[in-house]
Amino acid sequence: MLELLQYDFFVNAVIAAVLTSITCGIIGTYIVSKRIVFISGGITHTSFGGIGLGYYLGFNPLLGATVFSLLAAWIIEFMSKRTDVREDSAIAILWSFGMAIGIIFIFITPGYAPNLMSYLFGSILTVSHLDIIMMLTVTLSISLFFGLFYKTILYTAFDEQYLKTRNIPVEFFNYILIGFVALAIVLSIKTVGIILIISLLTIPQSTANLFVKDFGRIILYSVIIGIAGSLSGLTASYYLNIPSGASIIFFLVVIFAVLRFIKYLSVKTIRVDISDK
Amino acid sequence: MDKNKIIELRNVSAGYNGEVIIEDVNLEIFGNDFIGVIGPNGAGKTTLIKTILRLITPFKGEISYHFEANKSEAPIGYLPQVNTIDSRFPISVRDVVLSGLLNRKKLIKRFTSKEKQKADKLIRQMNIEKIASKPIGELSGGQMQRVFLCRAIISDPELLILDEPNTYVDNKFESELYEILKNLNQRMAIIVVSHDIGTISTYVKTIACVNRKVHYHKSNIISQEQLDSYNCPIQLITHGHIPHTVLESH
Repeated sequence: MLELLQYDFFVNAVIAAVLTSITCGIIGTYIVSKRIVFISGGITHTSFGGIGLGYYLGFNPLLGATVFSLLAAWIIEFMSKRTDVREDSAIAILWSFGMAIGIIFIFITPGYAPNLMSYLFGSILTVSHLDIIMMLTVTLSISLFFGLFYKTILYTAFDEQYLKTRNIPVEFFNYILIGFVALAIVLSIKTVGIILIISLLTIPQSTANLFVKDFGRIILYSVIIGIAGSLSGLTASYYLNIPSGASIIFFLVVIFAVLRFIKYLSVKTIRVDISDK
Repeated sequence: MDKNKIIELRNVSAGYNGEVIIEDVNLEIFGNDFIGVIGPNGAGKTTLIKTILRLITPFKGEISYHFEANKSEAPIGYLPQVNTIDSRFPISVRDVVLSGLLNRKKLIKRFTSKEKQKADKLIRQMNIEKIASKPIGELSGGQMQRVFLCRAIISDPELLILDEPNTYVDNKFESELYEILKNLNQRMAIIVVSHDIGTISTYVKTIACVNRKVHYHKSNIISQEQLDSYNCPIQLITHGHIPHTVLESH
Protein backbone atom coordinates (compact mmCIF):
# COMPACT_ATOMS: atom_id res chain seq x y z
CA MET A 1 0.00 0.00 0.00
CA LEU A 2 2.93 2.33 0.72
CA GLU A 3 3.92 2.70 -2.93
CA LEU A 4 0.33 3.73 -3.66
CA LEU A 5 0.84 6.79 -1.50
CA GLN A 6 3.18 8.21 -4.16
CA TYR A 7 0.06 8.94 -6.17
CA ASP A 8 -1.75 12.16 -5.35
CA PHE A 9 -5.15 10.71 -6.20
CA PHE A 10 -4.61 7.87 -3.76
CA VAL A 11 -3.48 10.18 -0.95
CA ASN A 12 -6.61 12.26 -1.53
CA ALA A 13 -8.70 9.10 -1.44
CA VAL A 14 -7.14 8.06 1.88
CA ILE A 15 -7.79 11.48 3.40
CA ALA A 16 -11.38 11.41 2.09
CA ALA A 17 -11.91 7.94 3.54
CA VAL A 18 -10.66 9.03 6.97
CA LEU A 19 -12.73 12.24 6.99
CA THR A 20 -15.87 10.42 5.84
CA SER A 21 -15.35 7.77 8.51
CA ILE A 22 -15.06 10.40 11.25
CA THR A 23 -18.18 12.26 10.08
CA CYS A 24 -20.23 9.13 9.54
CA GLY A 25 -19.02 7.65 12.83
CA ILE A 26 -20.40 10.63 14.72
CA ILE A 27 -23.55 11.33 12.68
CA GLY A 28 -24.33 7.63 12.21
CA THR A 29 -24.33 7.08 15.97
CA TYR A 30 -26.85 9.90 16.35
CA ILE A 31 -28.98 8.45 13.53
CA VAL A 32 -28.92 4.88 14.81
CA SER A 33 -29.51 5.83 18.46
CA LYS A 34 -32.39 8.14 17.61
CA ARG A 35 -33.80 5.58 15.16
CA ILE A 36 -33.93 7.97 12.22
CA VAL A 37 -32.24 5.67 9.68
CA PHE A 38 -35.29 5.87 7.41
CA ILE A 39 -35.25 9.68 7.56
CA SER A 40 -31.59 9.57 6.54
CA GLY A 41 -32.45 7.31 3.62
CA GLY A 42 -35.06 9.87 2.56
CA ILE A 43 -32.59 12.75 2.73
CA THR A 44 -29.98 10.77 0.80
CA HIS A 45 -32.22 9.92 -2.11
CA THR A 46 -33.85 13.33 -2.27
CA SER A 47 -30.38 14.79 -2.81
CA PHE A 48 -30.28 13.03 -6.21
CA GLY A 49 -32.79 15.62 -7.43
CA GLY A 50 -30.17 18.29 -6.74
CA ILE A 51 -27.53 16.35 -8.63
CA GLY A 52 -29.82 16.19 -11.67
CA LEU A 53 -30.57 19.92 -11.41
CA GLY A 54 -26.83 20.63 -11.25
CA TYR A 55 -26.29 18.66 -14.46
CA TYR A 56 -29.13 20.40 -16.23
CA LEU A 57 -28.25 23.97 -15.23
CA GLY A 58 -24.52 23.34 -15.45
CA PHE A 59 -23.38 23.94 -11.88
CA ASN A 60 -21.59 21.56 -9.51
CA PRO A 61 -24.02 18.68 -8.89
CA LEU A 62 -22.78 18.37 -5.30
CA LEU A 63 -23.95 21.92 -4.64
CA GLY A 64 -27.40 20.92 -5.87
CA ALA A 65 -27.24 17.85 -3.65
CA THR A 66 -26.38 20.02 -0.64
CA VAL A 67 -29.36 22.31 -1.21
CA PHE A 68 -31.77 19.43 -1.84
CA SER A 69 -30.67 17.36 1.14
CA LEU A 70 -30.77 20.32 3.55
CA LEU A 71 -34.27 21.19 2.32
CA ALA A 72 -35.39 17.58 2.61
CA ALA A 73 -33.93 17.36 6.13
CA TRP A 74 -35.70 20.47 7.36
CA ILE A 75 -39.00 19.60 5.66
CA ILE A 76 -38.97 16.17 7.30
CA GLU A 77 -38.07 17.69 10.68
CA PHE A 78 -40.89 20.21 10.31
CA MET A 79 -43.41 17.53 9.36
CA SER A 80 -42.39 15.20 12.18
CA LYS A 81 -43.86 17.71 14.64
CA ARG A 82 -47.22 17.71 12.90
CA THR A 83 -49.52 15.00 14.06
CA ASP A 84 -51.78 15.23 11.00
CA VAL A 85 -49.05 13.99 8.61
CA ARG A 86 -47.95 10.39 8.37
CA GLU A 87 -44.24 10.99 8.64
CA ASP A 88 -43.02 7.75 7.04
CA SER A 89 -45.28 8.20 4.01
CA ALA A 90 -44.11 11.79 3.64
CA ILE A 91 -40.47 10.64 3.68
CA ALA A 92 -41.24 8.01 1.03
CA ILE A 93 -42.78 10.70 -1.19
CA LEU A 94 -39.73 12.97 -0.89
CA TRP A 95 -37.43 9.96 -1.40
CA SER A 96 -38.97 8.91 -4.72
CA PHE A 97 -39.66 12.48 -5.86
CA GLY A 98 -35.96 13.34 -5.50
CA MET A 99 -34.91 10.29 -7.49
CA ALA A 100 -37.55 11.00 -10.15
CA ILE A 101 -36.64 14.62 -10.81
CA GLY A 102 -32.95 13.70 -10.72
CA ILE A 103 -33.44 11.23 -13.54
CA ILE A 104 -35.71 13.61 -15.48
CA PHE A 105 -33.13 16.43 -15.36
CA ILE A 106 -30.30 14.11 -16.37
CA PHE A 107 -32.41 12.76 -19.22
CA ILE A 108 -33.25 16.20 -20.64
CA THR A 109 -29.67 17.42 -20.28
CA PRO A 110 -28.15 17.37 -23.78
CA GLY A 111 -25.35 14.88 -24.31
CA TYR A 112 -24.14 12.02 -22.17
CA ALA A 113 -24.01 12.29 -18.34
CA PRO A 114 -20.47 11.09 -17.77
CA ASN A 115 -20.28 10.82 -13.99
CA LEU A 116 -23.77 9.58 -13.20
CA MET A 117 -22.53 6.26 -11.86
CA SER A 118 -19.97 8.02 -9.69
CA TYR A 119 -22.76 9.86 -7.83
CA LEU A 120 -24.80 6.70 -7.41
CA PHE A 121 -21.95 4.42 -6.33
CA GLY A 122 -19.16 6.83 -5.37
CA SER A 123 -15.78 7.55 -6.87
CA ILE A 124 -13.35 8.14 -4.06
CA LEU A 125 -10.36 7.94 -6.44
CA THR A 126 -11.48 11.15 -8.19
CA VAL A 127 -11.67 13.26 -5.02
CA SER A 128 -10.19 16.72 -5.69
CA HIS A 129 -8.40 19.15 -3.38
CA LEU A 130 -11.56 21.25 -3.27
CA ASP A 131 -13.54 18.16 -2.20
CA ILE A 132 -11.02 17.56 0.57
CA ILE A 133 -11.34 21.13 1.82
CA MET A 134 -15.15 20.82 1.85
CA MET A 135 -14.97 17.49 3.66
CA LEU A 136 -12.53 18.91 6.20
CA THR A 137 -14.83 21.86 6.88
CA VAL A 138 -17.86 19.64 7.45
CA THR A 139 -15.90 17.14 9.57
CA LEU A 140 -14.45 19.88 11.75
CA SER A 141 -17.82 21.62 12.20
CA ILE A 142 -19.55 18.40 13.18
CA SER A 143 -16.74 17.34 15.54
CA LEU A 144 -16.69 20.76 17.17
CA PHE A 145 -20.48 20.89 17.58
CA PHE A 146 -20.62 17.40 19.07
CA GLY A 147 -17.62 18.15 21.29
CA LEU A 148 -19.18 21.29 22.70
CA PHE A 149 -22.78 20.15 23.06
CA TYR A 150 -22.14 16.45 23.65
CA LYS A 151 -24.41 15.97 26.64
CA THR A 152 -27.20 18.14 25.26
CA ILE A 153 -27.14 16.18 21.98
CA LEU A 154 -27.13 12.87 23.84
CA TYR A 155 -30.10 13.86 26.00
CA THR A 156 -32.05 15.43 23.12
CA ALA A 157 -31.72 12.22 21.14
CA PHE A 158 -32.67 10.14 24.17
CA ASP A 159 -35.69 11.91 25.65
CA GLU A 160 -36.76 15.06 23.86
CA GLN A 161 -39.92 15.57 25.85
CA TYR A 162 -38.10 15.57 29.17
CA LEU A 163 -35.72 18.28 27.95
CA LYS A 164 -38.72 20.34 26.89
CA THR A 165 -39.96 20.29 30.48
CA ARG A 166 -36.55 21.79 31.31
CA ASN A 167 -36.98 24.61 28.83
CA ILE A 168 -34.07 23.41 26.66
CA PRO A 169 -34.35 24.65 23.04
CA VAL A 170 -34.83 21.12 21.71
CA GLU A 171 -36.32 22.19 18.37
CA PHE A 172 -33.31 24.39 17.64
CA PHE A 173 -30.95 21.47 18.28
CA ASN A 174 -33.07 19.13 16.17
CA TYR A 175 -32.92 21.47 13.15
CA ILE A 176 -29.15 21.94 13.48
CA LEU A 177 -28.51 18.22 13.95
CA ILE A 178 -30.68 17.14 11.02
CA GLY A 179 -28.83 19.77 8.98
CA PHE A 180 -25.55 18.10 9.92
CA VAL A 181 -27.03 14.74 8.94
CA ALA A 182 -27.75 16.24 5.49
CA LEU A 183 -24.20 17.62 5.19
CA ALA A 184 -22.67 14.31 6.27
CA ILE A 185 -24.72 12.58 3.59
CA VAL A 186 -23.59 14.98 0.84
CA LEU A 187 -19.99 14.57 1.98
CA SER A 188 -20.29 10.80 1.64
CA ILE A 189 -21.65 10.90 -1.91
CA LYS A 190 -18.10 11.10 -3.33
CA THR A 191 -16.89 8.30 -1.08
CA VAL A 192 -19.51 5.59 -1.50
CA GLY A 193 -22.33 7.10 -3.56
CA ILE A 194 -26.00 7.78 -2.86
CA ILE A 195 -27.07 4.16 -2.93
CA LEU A 196 -24.47 2.98 -0.41
CA ILE A 197 -24.36 5.91 2.06
CA ILE A 198 -26.85 4.41 4.46
CA SER A 199 -24.46 1.53 5.15
CA LEU A 200 -21.63 3.91 6.11
CA LEU A 201 -24.00 5.44 8.67
CA THR A 202 -25.20 2.17 10.17
CA ILE A 203 -22.74 -0.75 9.75
CA PRO A 204 -19.87 0.69 11.86
CA GLN A 205 -22.40 1.58 14.58
CA SER A 206 -23.96 -1.88 14.56
CA THR A 207 -20.48 -3.37 14.80
CA ALA A 208 -19.50 -1.06 17.67
CA ASN A 209 -22.79 -1.79 19.41
CA LEU A 210 -21.79 -5.47 19.64
CA PHE A 211 -19.22 -4.50 22.25
CA VAL A 212 -20.21 -1.13 23.72
CA LYS A 213 -23.58 0.28 24.78
CA ASP A 214 -22.61 3.87 25.42
CA PHE A 215 -23.25 6.73 22.97
CA GLY A 216 -19.75 8.22 23.25
CA ARG A 217 -17.96 4.89 22.92
CA ILE A 218 -20.09 3.87 19.95
CA ILE A 219 -18.94 7.08 18.23
CA LEU A 220 -15.27 6.29 18.96
CA TYR A 221 -15.45 2.63 17.90
CA SER A 222 -17.51 3.48 14.80
CA VAL A 223 -14.87 5.94 13.64
CA ILE A 224 -12.11 3.33 14.08
CA ILE A 225 -14.14 0.60 12.38
CA GLY A 226 -15.10 3.01 9.59
CA ILE A 227 -11.47 3.93 8.94
CA ALA A 228 -10.37 0.27 9.00
CA GLY A 229 -13.15 -0.76 6.61
CA SER A 230 -12.77 2.12 4.17
CA LEU A 231 -8.97 1.88 3.92
CA SER A 232 -9.10 -1.90 3.41
CA GLY A 233 -11.84 -1.48 0.84
CA LEU A 234 -9.93 1.27 -0.92
CA THR A 235 -6.73 -0.77 -1.17
CA ALA A 236 -8.58 -3.86 -2.34
CA SER A 237 -10.45 -1.86 -4.97
CA TYR A 238 -7.13 -0.66 -6.40
CA TYR A 239 -5.48 -4.06 -6.59
CA LEU A 240 -8.54 -6.04 -7.66
CA ASN A 241 -9.77 -3.27 -9.94
CA ILE A 242 -13.29 -3.26 -8.46
CA PRO A 243 -15.53 -0.23 -7.63
CA SER A 244 -14.23 1.48 -4.49
CA GLY A 245 -17.57 2.32 -2.85
CA ALA A 246 -18.88 -1.23 -3.11
CA SER A 247 -15.53 -2.58 -1.95
CA ILE A 248 -15.61 -0.37 1.20
CA ILE A 249 -19.11 -1.53 2.09
CA PHE A 250 -18.07 -5.15 1.47
CA PHE A 251 -15.20 -4.79 3.95
CA LEU A 252 -17.42 -3.09 6.54
CA VAL A 253 -19.85 -5.99 6.36
CA VAL A 254 -17.01 -8.53 6.58
CA ILE A 255 -15.67 -6.78 9.71
CA PHE A 256 -19.17 -6.85 11.20
CA ALA A 257 -19.66 -10.54 10.40
CA VAL A 258 -16.24 -11.58 11.76
CA LEU A 259 -16.66 -9.63 15.01
CA ARG A 260 -20.23 -10.87 15.39
CA PHE A 261 -18.94 -14.43 15.05
CA ILE A 262 -16.09 -13.82 17.52
CA LYS A 263 -18.59 -12.41 20.01
CA TYR A 264 -20.84 -15.43 19.50
CA LEU A 265 -17.90 -17.77 20.16
CA SER A 266 -16.74 -15.86 23.25
CA VAL A 267 -20.22 -15.82 24.77
CA LYS A 268 -20.45 -19.54 24.08
CA THR A 269 -17.05 -20.16 25.69
CA ILE A 270 -18.07 -18.28 28.81
CA ARG A 271 -21.24 -20.37 29.01
CA VAL A 272 -19.20 -23.57 28.67
CA ASP A 273 -16.80 -22.37 31.38
CA ILE A 274 -19.68 -21.76 33.75
CA SER A 275 -21.33 -25.09 33.08
CA ASP A 276 -18.01 -26.91 33.63
CA LYS A 277 -17.79 -25.68 37.19
CA MET B 1 -46.75 22.84 57.57
CA ASP B 2 -46.52 25.48 54.92
CA LYS B 3 -49.55 26.15 52.82
CA ASN B 4 -47.84 28.03 50.02
CA LYS B 5 -49.59 27.81 46.70
CA ILE B 6 -47.17 26.75 43.94
CA ILE B 7 -49.45 26.31 40.91
CA GLU B 8 -52.92 27.52 40.08
CA LEU B 9 -54.99 26.50 37.05
CA ARG B 10 -57.96 28.72 36.23
CA ASN B 11 -60.61 27.67 33.68
CA VAL B 12 -58.02 25.74 31.69
CA SER B 13 -59.03 23.86 28.55
CA ALA B 14 -56.38 21.90 26.68
CA GLY B 15 -55.89 19.07 24.17
CA TYR B 16 -54.30 18.25 20.86
CA ASN B 17 -54.96 19.48 17.31
CA GLY B 18 -57.85 21.64 18.40
CA GLU B 19 -59.61 18.76 20.10
CA VAL B 20 -60.47 19.57 23.69
CA ILE B 21 -59.47 16.77 26.05
CA ILE B 22 -59.71 18.52 29.39
CA GLU B 23 -62.15 21.33 29.90
CA ASP B 24 -62.60 24.16 32.34
CA VAL B 25 -60.12 22.86 34.90
CA ASN B 26 -59.66 24.72 38.15
CA LEU B 27 -56.97 23.39 40.42
CA GLU B 28 -54.71 24.75 43.13
CA ILE B 29 -51.55 22.92 44.07
CA PHE B 30 -49.80 23.64 47.36
CA GLY B 31 -46.24 22.96 48.46
CA ASN B 32 -47.06 19.98 50.65
CA ASP B 33 -49.75 18.36 48.50
CA PHE B 34 -49.80 14.69 47.60
CA ILE B 35 -52.43 14.37 44.89
CA GLY B 36 -53.59 11.12 43.32
CA VAL B 37 -54.96 11.66 39.82
CA ILE B 38 -57.43 8.99 38.77
CA GLY B 39 -59.79 8.53 35.85
CA PRO B 40 -60.57 6.11 33.03
CA ASN B 41 -58.26 5.61 30.03
CA GLY B 42 -58.37 8.53 27.64
CA ALA B 43 -59.99 10.80 30.22
CA GLY B 44 -57.19 13.35 30.02
CA LYS B 45 -54.90 12.43 32.93
CA THR B 46 -51.72 12.75 30.86
CA THR B 47 -53.06 15.85 29.09
CA LEU B 48 -53.58 17.47 32.49
CA ILE B 49 -50.01 16.89 33.63
CA LYS B 50 -48.54 17.84 30.25
CA THR B 51 -50.39 21.12 30.57
CA ILE B 52 -48.95 21.65 34.05
CA LEU B 53 -45.50 20.78 32.65
CA ARG B 54 -45.98 23.37 29.86
CA LEU B 55 -45.50 20.67 27.22
CA ILE B 56 -48.82 21.75 25.71
CA THR B 57 -50.26 25.23 25.66
CA PRO B 58 -53.84 25.53 26.91
CA PHE B 59 -56.55 26.68 24.46
CA LYS B 60 -58.23 28.69 27.17
CA GLY B 61 -57.65 29.75 30.73
CA GLU B 62 -54.40 30.41 32.51
CA ILE B 63 -51.85 28.70 34.67
CA SER B 64 -49.77 30.63 37.16
CA TYR B 65 -46.64 29.34 38.82
CA HIS B 66 -45.51 30.60 42.20
CA PHE B 67 -42.31 28.70 42.81
CA GLU B 68 -39.80 30.06 45.28
CA ALA B 69 -37.19 32.01 43.38
CA ASN B 70 -33.73 30.42 43.32
CA LYS B 71 -34.84 27.37 45.26
CA SER B 72 -34.51 25.03 42.34
CA GLU B 73 -33.30 25.44 38.75
CA ALA B 74 -35.97 23.00 37.66
CA PRO B 75 -39.00 23.44 39.90
CA ILE B 76 -40.93 20.51 38.42
CA GLY B 77 -39.50 16.99 38.37
CA TYR B 78 -41.19 14.63 35.91
CA LEU B 79 -41.27 10.87 35.65
CA PRO B 80 -42.86 9.97 32.30
CA GLN B 81 -44.63 6.72 31.50
CA VAL B 82 -41.87 4.17 30.96
CA ASN B 83 -43.29 3.05 27.63
CA THR B 84 -42.36 6.45 26.18
CA ILE B 85 -38.68 5.66 26.83
CA ASP B 86 -36.55 3.90 24.21
CA SER B 87 -34.95 1.31 26.48
CA ARG B 88 -32.44 0.25 23.81
CA PHE B 89 -30.92 3.69 23.58
CA PRO B 90 -27.16 3.47 24.31
CA ILE B 91 -27.06 5.42 27.56
CA SER B 92 -25.94 4.44 31.05
CA VAL B 93 -27.94 4.74 34.26
CA ARG B 94 -25.58 7.42 35.62
CA ASP B 95 -25.97 9.52 32.46
CA VAL B 96 -29.76 9.32 32.67
CA VAL B 97 -29.71 10.48 36.29
CA LEU B 98 -27.34 13.35 35.45
CA SER B 99 -29.64 14.52 32.67
CA GLY B 100 -31.96 15.73 35.42
CA LEU B 101 -29.41 18.50 36.07
CA LEU B 102 -29.33 19.81 32.50
CA ASN B 103 -30.67 23.32 32.05
CA ARG B 104 -30.44 26.21 29.62
CA LYS B 105 -27.27 27.60 31.13
CA LYS B 106 -25.44 24.29 31.04
CA LEU B 107 -25.84 23.32 27.40
CA ILE B 108 -22.10 23.48 26.72
CA LYS B 109 -20.38 22.90 30.03
CA ARG B 110 -19.64 19.42 31.26
CA PHE B 111 -21.12 18.33 34.56
CA THR B 112 -18.96 19.33 37.51
CA SER B 113 -17.54 16.76 39.92
CA LYS B 114 -19.92 18.15 42.54
CA GLU B 115 -22.89 17.39 40.28
CA LYS B 116 -21.52 13.92 39.58
CA GLN B 117 -21.16 13.29 43.32
CA LYS B 118 -24.75 14.38 43.82
CA ALA B 119 -25.87 11.88 41.21
CA ASP B 120 -23.82 9.09 42.79
CA LYS B 121 -25.21 9.88 46.23
CA LEU B 122 -28.77 9.71 44.94
CA ILE B 123 -27.98 6.48 43.10
CA ARG B 124 -26.74 4.96 46.39
CA GLN B 125 -29.80 6.18 48.29
CA MET B 126 -32.03 4.62 45.67
CA ASN B 127 -30.10 1.36 45.98
CA ILE B 128 -29.10 1.13 42.34
CA GLU B 129 -25.33 1.66 42.63
CA LYS B 130 -24.65 -1.85 41.30
CA ILE B 131 -26.27 -0.97 38.00
CA ALA B 132 -25.03 2.63 37.77
CA SER B 133 -22.69 1.96 34.82
CA LYS B 134 -25.05 -0.38 33.00
CA PRO B 135 -26.95 0.58 29.87
CA ILE B 136 -30.64 1.12 30.63
CA GLY B 137 -31.56 -1.73 28.28
CA GLU B 138 -30.40 -4.24 30.90
CA LEU B 139 -32.68 -3.05 33.71
CA SER B 140 -35.86 -4.52 35.14
CA GLY B 141 -39.07 -2.52 35.27
CA GLY B 142 -38.56 -1.58 38.91
CA GLN B 143 -34.93 -0.55 38.38
CA MET B 144 -36.00 1.55 35.42
CA GLN B 145 -38.54 3.43 37.56
CA ARG B 146 -35.89 4.09 40.22
CA VAL B 147 -33.50 5.50 37.62
CA PHE B 148 -36.13 7.85 36.23
CA LEU B 149 -37.23 8.81 39.74
CA CYS B 150 -33.59 9.79 40.43
CA ARG B 151 -33.58 11.91 37.29
CA ALA B 152 -36.82 13.58 38.36
CA ILE B 153 -35.69 14.51 41.87
CA ILE B 154 -31.96 15.24 41.43
CA SER B 155 -32.68 18.94 40.81
CA ASP B 156 -34.56 19.19 44.14
CA PRO B 157 -37.86 20.20 42.53
CA GLU B 158 -40.76 21.76 44.40
CA LEU B 159 -43.22 19.55 42.57
CA LEU B 160 -42.76 15.94 41.47
CA ILE B 161 -45.10 14.54 38.82
CA LEU B 162 -45.24 10.80 38.20
CA ASP B 163 -47.20 9.39 35.27
CA GLU B 164 -48.31 5.84 36.04
CA PRO B 165 -45.19 4.80 37.96
CA ASN B 166 -46.80 1.48 38.84
CA THR B 167 -46.75 -0.04 35.37
CA TYR B 168 -44.29 -2.87 34.60
CA VAL B 169 -43.30 -3.21 38.26
CA ASP B 170 -43.93 -5.87 40.88
CA ASN B 171 -45.93 -5.35 44.07
CA LYS B 172 -42.80 -5.25 46.20
CA PHE B 173 -41.40 -2.33 44.28
CA GLU B 174 -44.74 -0.58 44.28
CA SER B 175 -44.93 -0.51 48.05
CA GLU B 176 -41.28 0.58 48.26
CA LEU B 177 -42.01 3.35 45.77
CA TYR B 178 -44.82 4.76 47.86
CA GLU B 179 -42.62 4.68 50.96
CA ILE B 180 -40.03 6.69 49.02
CA LEU B 181 -42.71 9.11 47.85
CA LYS B 182 -44.02 9.54 51.38
CA ASN B 183 -40.53 10.64 52.44
CA LEU B 184 -40.11 12.91 49.44
CA ASN B 185 -43.45 14.53 50.21
CA GLN B 186 -41.84 16.17 53.25
CA ARG B 187 -39.72 18.18 50.82
CA MET B 188 -41.91 18.57 47.75
CA ALA B 189 -45.45 18.40 46.45
CA ILE B 190 -46.29 15.22 44.55
CA ILE B 191 -48.81 14.39 41.84
CA VAL B 192 -49.22 10.72 40.99
CA VAL B 193 -51.24 9.66 37.98
CA SER B 194 -52.55 6.18 38.40
CA HIS B 195 -55.01 3.75 36.94
CA ASP B 196 -54.66 1.68 40.08
CA ILE B 197 -55.64 3.87 42.99
CA GLY B 198 -55.71 0.96 45.44
CA THR B 199 -52.15 1.17 46.67
CA ILE B 200 -52.01 4.90 46.41
CA SER B 201 -55.01 5.93 48.41
CA THR B 202 -53.47 5.28 51.79
CA TYR B 203 -50.59 7.63 50.90
CA VAL B 204 -52.20 10.39 48.89
CA LYS B 205 -53.77 13.26 50.76
CA THR B 206 -56.22 14.31 48.06
CA ILE B 207 -57.71 12.83 44.90
CA ALA B 208 -58.37 14.50 41.57
CA CYS B 209 -60.80 12.61 39.39
CA VAL B 210 -60.26 13.38 35.71
CA ASN B 211 -62.92 12.72 33.12
CA ARG B 212 -62.76 15.66 30.72
CA LYS B 213 -63.56 17.81 33.74
CA VAL B 214 -61.48 17.63 36.89
CA HIS B 215 -63.19 17.04 40.20
CA TYR B 216 -60.90 17.75 43.08
CA HIS B 217 -61.64 15.83 46.22
CA LYS B 218 -59.83 17.25 49.21
CA SER B 219 -59.54 13.98 51.08
CA ASN B 220 -58.06 10.59 50.38
CA ILE B 221 -61.34 8.89 51.11
CA ILE B 222 -63.82 8.92 48.31
CA SER B 223 -67.20 7.26 48.16
CA GLN B 224 -69.09 5.68 45.28
CA GLU B 225 -71.77 8.38 45.52
CA GLN B 226 -69.15 11.08 45.10
CA LEU B 227 -67.61 9.30 42.11
CA ASP B 228 -71.04 8.91 40.55
CA SER B 229 -71.80 12.58 41.05
CA TYR B 230 -68.50 13.38 39.26
CA ASN B 231 -69.54 11.18 36.31
CA CYS B 232 -66.39 9.20 36.90
CA PRO B 233 -66.90 5.69 35.50
CA ILE B 234 -64.84 4.07 38.20
CA GLN B 235 -66.18 1.48 40.55
CA LEU B 236 -65.33 1.51 44.17
CA ILE B 237 -64.84 -1.58 46.28
CA THR B 238 -65.10 -0.86 49.96
CA HIS B 239 -63.98 -2.84 52.92
CA GLY B 240 -65.48 -1.87 56.25
CA HIS B 241 -65.59 1.84 56.86
CA ILE B 242 -62.58 2.90 54.84
CA PRO B 243 -62.94 2.76 51.10
CA HIS B 244 -59.49 1.76 49.91
CA THR B 245 -59.73 0.14 46.55
CA VAL B 246 -61.02 1.61 43.34
CA LEU B 247 -61.41 -0.46 40.22
CA GLU B 248 -62.33 0.72 36.78
CA SER B 249 -65.70 -0.57 35.70
CA HIS B 250 -65.70 -3.24 33.05
